This record gives sequence, C-alpha cells and structure tokens, in this order.
Amino acid sequence: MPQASGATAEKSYPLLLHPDVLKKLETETANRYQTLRSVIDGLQFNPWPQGAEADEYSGPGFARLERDDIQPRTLFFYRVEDDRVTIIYYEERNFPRG
Amino acid sequence: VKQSDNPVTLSEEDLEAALRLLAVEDVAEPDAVRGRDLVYSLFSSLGIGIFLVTLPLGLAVVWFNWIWGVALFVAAAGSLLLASLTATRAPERRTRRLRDSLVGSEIEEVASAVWAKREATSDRTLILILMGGAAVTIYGLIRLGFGLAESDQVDWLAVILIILPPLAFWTFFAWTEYREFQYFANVSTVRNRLETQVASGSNDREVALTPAEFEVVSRAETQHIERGIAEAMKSVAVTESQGYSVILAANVIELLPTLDFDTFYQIRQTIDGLQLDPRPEGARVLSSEAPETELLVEQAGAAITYRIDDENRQIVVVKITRNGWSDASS
Repeated sequence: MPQASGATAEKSYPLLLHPDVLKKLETETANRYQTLRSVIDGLQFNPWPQGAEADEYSGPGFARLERDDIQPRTLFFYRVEDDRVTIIYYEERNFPRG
Repeated sequence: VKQSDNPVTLSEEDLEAALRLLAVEDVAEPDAVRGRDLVYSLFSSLGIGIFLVTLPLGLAVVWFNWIWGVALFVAAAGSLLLASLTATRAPERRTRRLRDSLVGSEIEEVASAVWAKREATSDRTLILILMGGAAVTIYGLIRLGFGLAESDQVDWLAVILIILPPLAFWTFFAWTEYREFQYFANVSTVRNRLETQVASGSNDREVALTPAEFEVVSRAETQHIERGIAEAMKSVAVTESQGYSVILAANVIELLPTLDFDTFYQIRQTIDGLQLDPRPEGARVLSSEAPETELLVEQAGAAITYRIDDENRQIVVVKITRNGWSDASS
C-alpha cells in the first residue's frame, strides 16, 4: 500500500481532470479556484502527500485526500497510475463523516 | 463543525451548507422507499422470500410426497401474488445497486477488496454473502433430493439449508429498506425544521441541532459524496481513454501563481481544453527538432507552448510566453 510521504517525489505524474471536475472548478470563486488548482497541481509531483489515503475498496491506485487547511475542507478522490494521475472528484466537507 | 454528545450550534455558513445538502439529499433517490410504500415494500420482500423458499422445496418434494409438494406450490403461488400486489421498485433498485457495485470488477477483486477493507455492510459484501447463500441452498436441495431418493425420508438439515439463506437475505433486505426509509424521513424532518426556523425571520441565524439531527446532516454529506464518486467512476474509463493528460513544466508552475486572476484563469482554461483537443483551431506547429505546438490565448495576451505525445496521450506544457506569440514561432 502506498504510504503518504509528505516529501516531493522526483517523478512527475501527468494530470488528467475528469470533465465534471473541470465543470465544477468553473463554478468556484476566484480564491477557491486558485487554491484548488494549486492542490491539484501539487499532485503532479507528489500524488501521495501527507493525509492521502489509499482507497483499496475502489481498487488499486485509488486515493482520497482530505485537506482541512483550505476552506471549506475539501475531499479529493483520484487514481494514481505509473504514468498518470486522474482527478475524478472533489467536494467540500463541512461536517464529520456520518 | 465537530461531532459531540451535546447540541451542536451551526454557524450561518454551516447552516446554509446543511440546508443545501438536505435539499439535494431529499430528492437524490426518487425511487427510495418513502411514506406508505414502506409497508408495501416489506410485504413484497416477504412474498419474494417465501416464493424463493417454497418453489425449490416444492420442486424437490413433489416427486416423493405430492400432497406436501402441491401445498408448497400453492404457498409459492400465493407468495408470488402477494409480491405482485405489493410490488414497489425497491427490489429492482436494490438489484441495480448490487449490479452497479460489480461493474468493471472481477469477483476475486471484489472479494479481496472487501477483505482488505473489512467491509461489513457494503453492497459488494452483500453480493458475496448472496453467492455463498445460493451455494448453500443448492447444496441443501441436492442433499434433500438424495435423502428422499435413498430412504424416502425428509432430511430436515437439508430443509434448513434451503430455507435459511433466502430467509436471511430477504430479512436483511427488508431491514435495510426500513433503515433507508427512516433515513429519508429524518432528512425531510430536519430539513423542514431548519427551513421553518430560518423562515421565522429570527435575526439570530445560528441554529442548534440535536446530536441525532447532526448525525443526519453528517450522513447526508457522506452519502452525497459517495454518490458523487460512484457517478464519476462510471465515466472514468472513457475520460482516461479519450483524454490527454497534462504535465506543467516547473517554470510554468512557478509562473502561474504570479499572474493576475483573469490571465491565470484564461490560461488554465485553455490548457484544460487541450485535454480533449490538443490541436484546437489556431494552434500552430513550431519548427524545431522536437516539434512543439503553440497556442495563443488572446484574452490573456499570452501563448502556450507545448509538446504533444500522441502515443502516450500526454501533453507537456513547456513554456508560457506573455505578450503574444513566442519569438521561436515560425
């Protein structure tokens, strides 16, 4: 299972954004748009940052990253492969997991 | 907002988020069992459960004891009638959910994923239990048939093996229907209460939720997210097979945050567009050893220079030139 390293990897992973992610990004405010893009861009260099968890239930390479340092707290769901990271979904999280 | 045993006070922003969420959740599953449908759904489940028990039992028994066999057939017909008269879309919806949870996965993958996550109540766990139950029922039928053929005696253990799995499954199914009914009823109740309080015109927009109400809101958010992920997953394969993934060179990543928002946004939008169409109208190939393509982002007054790797469906954005076309353009 991949471990969150928090370190910057040397390799770069090309990013592919799901069309719904692109559509949703367009509805964000300017500040949030820039913040979200910077989180997503960060995955190009390190797809397993601190806080990222493998989602084995969804299959090999799937991951969830919850960022509570941005407002509102946001969950990213993506797939990491050797030659690509696909950003599949993101959504704000305002309440504890129920 | 954190979970607590005490009433939870929502800020104005959290209240708005909760209302938005509950409104979406309230209509998220139009086929879900609501109101009086619950009674019909429970009778329908009961009917299907009895039918699945009595029909195979009747088929096995009728060869050796026709009175019992016919009695079981009558029970099967009666239960089928009960299921038909009280039919709701619940079994169809449940079946569809079970099927969707398997799409694109081999059964071994499902089993190992369920084991890895120790999932106790997921749809995929249910499928595994269902398959195990079906195997037990088939074994029970064979055992009953052999027992009757050899000694003309009913093997009661075989009968239990035949009855137990469908009974357990349909009882569990009815229970989950009831839980879902309860959940959607709670969503409506909490939503109505919050809306009433907001509509009362109180200046104080902060609202206190009981722990039970707060749990409903938390679950609504989790369900909303899981539903969104499941929906997006359906088109991941298409996205991955048709799209070009994009790498931004280090100098591009450094440059982007320094741009004013409008320029930043226009450039990002243009790069995003390359995912599906790496050669849009206006793109031109630069003459160099490693062919690069350049695309003008007129509104941003900038040009994006990138390499296209069709074989690996990748794009590398190597440079962003401000003030129009780069000097290297042909």
